[in-house]
Amino acid sequence: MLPGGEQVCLTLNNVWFAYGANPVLEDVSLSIRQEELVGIAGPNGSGKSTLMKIMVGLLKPDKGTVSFSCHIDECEGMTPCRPCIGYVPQNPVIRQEQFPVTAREVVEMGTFGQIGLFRRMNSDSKRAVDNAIAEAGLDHVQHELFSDLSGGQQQRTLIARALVGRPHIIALDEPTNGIDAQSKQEFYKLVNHLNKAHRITVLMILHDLPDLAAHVERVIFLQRKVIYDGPSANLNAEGLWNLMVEAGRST
Amino acid sequence: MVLEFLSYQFGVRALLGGLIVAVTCSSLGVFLVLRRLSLVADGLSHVAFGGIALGLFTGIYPLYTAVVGVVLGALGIHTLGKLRVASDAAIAIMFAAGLAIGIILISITQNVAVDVLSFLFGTILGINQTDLYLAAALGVTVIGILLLFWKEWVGITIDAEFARVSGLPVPALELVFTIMTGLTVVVAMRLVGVLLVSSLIVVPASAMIQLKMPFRQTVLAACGVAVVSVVAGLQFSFMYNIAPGGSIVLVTICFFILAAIVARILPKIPKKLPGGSWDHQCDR
Repeated sequence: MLPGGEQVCLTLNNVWFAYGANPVLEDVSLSIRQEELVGIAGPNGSGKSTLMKIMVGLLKPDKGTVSFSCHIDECEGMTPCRPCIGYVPQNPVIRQEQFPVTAREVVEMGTFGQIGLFRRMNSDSKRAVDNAIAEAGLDHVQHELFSDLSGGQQQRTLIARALVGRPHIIALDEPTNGIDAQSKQEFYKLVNHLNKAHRITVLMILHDLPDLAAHVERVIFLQRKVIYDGPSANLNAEGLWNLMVEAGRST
Repeated sequence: MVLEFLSYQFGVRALLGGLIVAVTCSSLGVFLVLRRLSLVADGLSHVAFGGIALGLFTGIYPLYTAVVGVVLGALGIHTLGKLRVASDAAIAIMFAAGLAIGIILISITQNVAVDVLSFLFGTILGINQTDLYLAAALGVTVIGILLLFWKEWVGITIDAEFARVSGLPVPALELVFTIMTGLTVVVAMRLVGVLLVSSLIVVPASAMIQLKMPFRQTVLAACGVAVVSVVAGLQFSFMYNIAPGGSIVLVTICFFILAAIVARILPKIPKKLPGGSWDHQCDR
């Protein structure tokens, strides 16, 4: 627990990671508090996606530790109690044209890890899928092919898939890439609703600097190391831009 | 006469064997094509060729050694993947290794030319009771495992990264799937031959994927295409005295072309709009 009574739900201690001989993350330490809305920023190649993959368990750090402290009692009935964290990847293969899978089938996938091997979806998991679809405002398109949906609807489908496991944290890798301005606003509204109404901690990798300043509470600026970690209110878009330029020069 | 070949014992065996192969190949094919692993079947069919050559060399029934060969080939592809070799390169390496072993073993084995040709091009009309039992056993095993882990295969196909994050044992499941593909290759190889086996896996699946149906319907439709292709291919083979393996695959190619045409015409047909009325009054 942090001073002020805030619960920490994810901690990275001295995390190092390299692809072969190329260092990507160097001694990254940070704590994510419950119900925070955090934006991760940095220039291309700064290690943002690698950091997120380490957070969600897709990559193991070469050195250092990652620890979660979710409320286990809230995970009753979940086997395994894995989805402390729900993940929305940057560019899943289902975006390709002709992938024969409906929006509902994509969301259903969010229950598979909890249901466990050899078991089928039961009425509870179907209800969880219904709720996640309703929450993301996808009722009217749930039986459409995922590849036929708009960019914004696809993104909301992926969020619904991450939500269906009732995670404490949701991690989104560049979620606003390739969606129009209106869909982007709807997306931020949904994320804000999840954060405030459902008290879900949100981690987002964002490239759009004005969006970072406007839609997140805390910014972690990465350039292999954490070079800024603080409230977004302390950084206007210009301040972030200067950081970005400095980071670009240093590489 | 339509389906005249069924009046012969060998025709009935060919049809039963063909139907087993049609269902196993096409259902696995949808998963493989969507995961861009179509070449796995091709690679494993050449590894199976190495296994067959080993059988001919040692005097063991060649399909048994082919099963051992494809399981080892599947493990090889999986291990190379773990060593960060790209999946297409891993498949190509196993493909080359299987073919090389096969060629060497055949070159030092006497009087096997006819047997080798039968495995290269398939002899569906000449399959015996043992082949049929082996095909049934492998086919039931593969379909059983496919149904048992259906949601896991769907999950890995939709998004393997997300499946891992949500707690599915993705690497182990991928290995099982590659072994299942290898066993399917062995089943199909006896019928359509090493050279055409991957087409029976890839073509029906690719044909039906174009029609943009939900996942389950796509798999069922691919099975339907493969079953009809086997029946029609055998019929054409019997009617015109042509190679049944090639005939079956050519029918699947016709389905692919037909599906491609339908897939391009369908989006141009305007959808019927609900309701709507015309109640415009002009004051003139």
